[in-house]
Amino acid sequence: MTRYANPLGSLGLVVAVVALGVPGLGLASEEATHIMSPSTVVMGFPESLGALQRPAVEFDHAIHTKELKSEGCVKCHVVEETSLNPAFKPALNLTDRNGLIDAYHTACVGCHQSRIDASLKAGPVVCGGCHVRHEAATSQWVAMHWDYSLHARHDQVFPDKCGTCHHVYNKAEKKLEYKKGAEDSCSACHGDHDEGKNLSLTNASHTSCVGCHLERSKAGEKAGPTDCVGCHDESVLKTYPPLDPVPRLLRGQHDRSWIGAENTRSGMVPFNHLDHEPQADFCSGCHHANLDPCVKCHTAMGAPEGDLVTLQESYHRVTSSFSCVGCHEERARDTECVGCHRSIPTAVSQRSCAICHSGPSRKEAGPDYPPPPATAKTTLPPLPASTDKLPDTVEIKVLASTYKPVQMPHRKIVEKLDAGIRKSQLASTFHGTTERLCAGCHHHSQEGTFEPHCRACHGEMAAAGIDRPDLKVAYHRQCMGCHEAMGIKKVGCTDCHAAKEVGS
Amino acid sequence: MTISRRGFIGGVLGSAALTGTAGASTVEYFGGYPGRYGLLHDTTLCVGCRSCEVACKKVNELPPFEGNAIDDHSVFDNKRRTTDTALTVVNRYREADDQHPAVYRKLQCMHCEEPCCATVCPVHAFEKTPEGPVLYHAELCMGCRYCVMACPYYALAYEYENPLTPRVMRCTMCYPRIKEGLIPGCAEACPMGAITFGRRDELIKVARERIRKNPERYVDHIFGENEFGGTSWLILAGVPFKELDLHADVTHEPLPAIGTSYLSVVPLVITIYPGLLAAFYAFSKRKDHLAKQEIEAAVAETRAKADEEAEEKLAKAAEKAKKNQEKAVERAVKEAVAKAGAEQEKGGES
Amino acid sequence: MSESATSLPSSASGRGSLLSPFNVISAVILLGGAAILAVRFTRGLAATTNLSYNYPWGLWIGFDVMSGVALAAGGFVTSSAVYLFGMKEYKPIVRPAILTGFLGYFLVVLGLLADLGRPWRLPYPFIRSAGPTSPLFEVALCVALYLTVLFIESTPAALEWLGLRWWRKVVGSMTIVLTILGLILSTMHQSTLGAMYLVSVLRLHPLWYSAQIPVHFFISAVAAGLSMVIVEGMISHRAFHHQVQISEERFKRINIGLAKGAAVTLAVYFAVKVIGISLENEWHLLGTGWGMWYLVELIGFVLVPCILFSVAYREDNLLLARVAAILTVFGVVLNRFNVTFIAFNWQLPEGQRYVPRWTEIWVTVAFITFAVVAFRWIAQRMPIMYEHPDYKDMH
Repeated sequence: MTRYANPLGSLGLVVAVVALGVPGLGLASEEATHIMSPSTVVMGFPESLGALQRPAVEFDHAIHTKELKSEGCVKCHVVEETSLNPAFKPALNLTDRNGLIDAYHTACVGCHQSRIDASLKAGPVVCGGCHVRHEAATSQWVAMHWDYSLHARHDQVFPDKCGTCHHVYNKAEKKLEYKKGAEDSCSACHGDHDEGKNLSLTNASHTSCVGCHLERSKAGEKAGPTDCVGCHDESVLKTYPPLDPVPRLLRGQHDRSWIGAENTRSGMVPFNHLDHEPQADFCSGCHHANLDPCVKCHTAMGAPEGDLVTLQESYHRVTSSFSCVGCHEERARDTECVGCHRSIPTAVSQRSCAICHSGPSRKEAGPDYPPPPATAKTTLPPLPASTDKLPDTVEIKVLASTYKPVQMPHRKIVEKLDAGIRKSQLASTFHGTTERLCAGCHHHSQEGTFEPHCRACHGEMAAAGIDRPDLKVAYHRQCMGCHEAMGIKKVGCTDCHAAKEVGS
Repeated sequence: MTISRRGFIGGVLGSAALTGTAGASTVEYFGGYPGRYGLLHDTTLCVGCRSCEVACKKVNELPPFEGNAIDDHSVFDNKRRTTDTALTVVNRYREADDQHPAVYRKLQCMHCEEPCCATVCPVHAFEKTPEGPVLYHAELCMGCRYCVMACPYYALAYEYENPLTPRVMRCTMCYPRIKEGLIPGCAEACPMGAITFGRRDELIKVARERIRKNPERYVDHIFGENEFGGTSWLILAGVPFKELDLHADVTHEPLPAIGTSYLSVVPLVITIYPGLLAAFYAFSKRKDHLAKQEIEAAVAETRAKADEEAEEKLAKAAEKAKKNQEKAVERAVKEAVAKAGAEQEKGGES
Repeated sequence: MSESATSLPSSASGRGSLLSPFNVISAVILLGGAAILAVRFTRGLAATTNLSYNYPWGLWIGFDVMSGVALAAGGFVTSSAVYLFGMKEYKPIVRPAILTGFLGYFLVVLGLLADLGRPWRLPYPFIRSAGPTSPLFEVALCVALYLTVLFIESTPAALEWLGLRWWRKVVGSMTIVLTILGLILSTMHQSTLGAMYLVSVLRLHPLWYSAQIPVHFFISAVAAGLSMVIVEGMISHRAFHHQVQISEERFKRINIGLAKGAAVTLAVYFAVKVIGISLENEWHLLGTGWGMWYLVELIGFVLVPCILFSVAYREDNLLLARVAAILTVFGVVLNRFNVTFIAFNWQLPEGQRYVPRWTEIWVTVAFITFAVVAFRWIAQRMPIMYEHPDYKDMH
């Protein structure tokens, strides 16, 4: 019956369409966060060429180097004497969107297809095989980590031949040349993006470093890594043995010098460059952009080349690891120090200014003032003997109800913290006295030999408005917080106070 | 009727002040009772000791925990929720690893600024007090459990084992203790001060200060400040709130307003429907009436036509009869005259 | 028991012995239900239900209250159609529909009495402490009033049966007012039952949650009511065939007319839901597991019966209309179940979901049995399925 067939037929059609079509609507592969290996390169357009129509391709370089080992880097890259152009050969010099797409597709898919035809292991040839939709990914790639040891090892291969790697660009003659005494970090000129012929740091390092390694390994000489994981995989980087001891990297720096700004009244800071060198992994720990003096970019009022960071900020900003104060602040968060310093907002106080600014002002000194002399290491006086102000044990029983009183080994704790301070020149210099240590626990009170009881300020009820906890919380936060921060495994209830027997 | 009009309107307006329903005019902004209390829960300080759970049971005279000892951390292997005998529980949301300690959070009634439970209770058994806590009045409750269903924080529990006097069980913020000048049992018991009791507005400032001083320790957000209109429990965390099963991305609009927005339709239905439906009824009745009239008119017309035809027929028949009669009379007269003539002739001849 | 000279359908036939299979089975079910309720009131809800702290509402609310109210909507739909919109051809089914409605709402109240923690406090919102901000307060008020309206609307049959002519006249004169009142009250509480879920922004799955949930509930209630009248007619027409006065052809026409109404209603319901998905941009959710389940409800139990109803109307096919009606009834019940405890708490892990216990199912079946038994008892004695000849002038 045709009259029946139509409506029921269309009903069936509706059901079929829905059943088949709808699942495609929203079935985004809901994968959990997936992890990219260090050798994965995410291929995307520069923003100027428009948005991607398909998900960016996650290109695993390592698989390709492995499979194409016999053909070598020249399969995809232009390799010259000591340089390897990291750009993909078929895409060189292409700047238009469709041209780039075609180049990659022709090269990649073409190669895959020809390998399939030759019955070899090959990559995908369908769109979705490379353009896979992924959820947010975390990459295991780590940035290349340069330090004194690595520099020294390169130095050993090319002794006194700094020009092998270091060059400057002669604008007048438009060529690269080596200038002795002007050796600087790569990132001084090579930034995040290619600027004409001035390659980005990534491209420049791949070109030069990998190129040189490649050439040496081809010549059978000992060489650095030529694959991605050699520089960008944390676990592989850990396997390279550091040189010990590392010879000092000399580039004409003074052992000690004065730091002071023009037209200021504060005393100059006697800076011991020699002692500070081992504190960072490399020069770039402090000389973060290049080896110029700070004031060149960080002017008194702030300049664009210094990201508008003023000279004062560049020395004193507490949150920056490049500034003096910032680095000292970071040291105060080391495990040895963090027990007390975690609750002290900044290690820097007004008292500490004079410790650094101990010289004359630049005006007083005049232009021919000699460099600061070498000084002896700071040694703190020994701890005094136990008194009732520095007791051996403190019995805390004011709150004992569920638990027995605490027998706190006061002297032992003080001695342990004191030992840590003595080990560190930074700590010893800035602490200056042994009593300063007391303020770590006996906080928010007058420094010196008078250290109040905790219960002097922390009462039975908290003062919520000023965020001051009650006595029980004060004890627990102070003690347990310190133990946790310093990795001391005494955070269980009965580690400090024994439980009372039921009924007592 | 059951509730007086005045009582109804009064109830609506009164509750509108608390719940901000769209039904009453809300040009004025009520920012909550000044000086009301709140609690700041700093989850970065919580170590999962569960002293708060023990204290809560003690203060509320609830049966103690069964099973393992209080410091047996295997209890954290499963996520728990509040029950009718445990008004607060602590859950672990991240296990400890080398760099970081475990992450815990305490769950309990959030004592919302605009409590959903209070809005949806048909017997108004919940009360948002000026001091901050939301109170439950068991003497009014009929056990419909709408509050349990509505709570977005899954905070309420019900005494299903109680056959005749079941109650909704939830944290009371130790209201009797607060009235006495004490602080809630959990806040008093916590050894790490992960729970701070104080004025809500001050606690927000304290929380902001903590975040400002330790930016790497906290996620820059105070949960409970504005979510669904805000809660009395303010939560700080060092991990994304989603990990703590807290939805920090919800609207700031109070949930009761969302839930009762529709009720503004009720007065419209009550006032518009009678007129509208009476009109429908009137239309249908008029339609019937008109139909009836049309039928009657048609019947009348047909009858009149039939009458007319009948009259015509009758007139025609009457005329015919008259004609016939005249003819018959004529014929009879003729006959009679002829007969008389014939007789006369016969008599003259003899 | 009025006997009159004019012929009454024999009320004696159709009633079998006291121990008929129907009576015995219903008795067993009812006694079992009573026993379970006794346990509920001596050992609490924990002993007789699978309710949990996360699922405070289960089968008794999901079926007895939510579905019961929706399925009893036939009362207001048919009475409005006949008395307000002048569709007099549906007159014969108004009384059975009203009776179904009344017993349906009675079932709702019974379900509430079983489920509430303290059911004797049911009048509290009206007499002790009102919570007028609550949708449930409005539902309670409307349901209480509507139950009264339905009761009064059901009294004409009883009054005719009792021969109380003057009372019958008084009640009859109130028909229009009661019908208007019934439609007002039904609109409000049917939609407000849906509005009760407006607070469940986080707990109800976004496909079922919508700011238009009240509208969804109301429209689906109309569809459910119409379908329930068809279903109930299917059963009672056969059971009380000896009483029925209208011809088979007329009965079929009535059902086909109801099918037309149901088709339109379901089409509107489908459109409202699809537009709702579009407004909230939830298309991508349809591809998930929950989306599949939602499509089962929307396509299988809304779109399919809509098309079947349309075909039934076009082809004048009573069987198809009845199939569609059954599908619609199941569909509305499924929708209420989804909203109450299946798609509710959708974010909770599977192990913590609610499944009704056999005791809850038994009690629900017992309540339904009670309604069926009551319907049967009333229809056997009172002029529900037919017009009482003595009162023909009052109809």
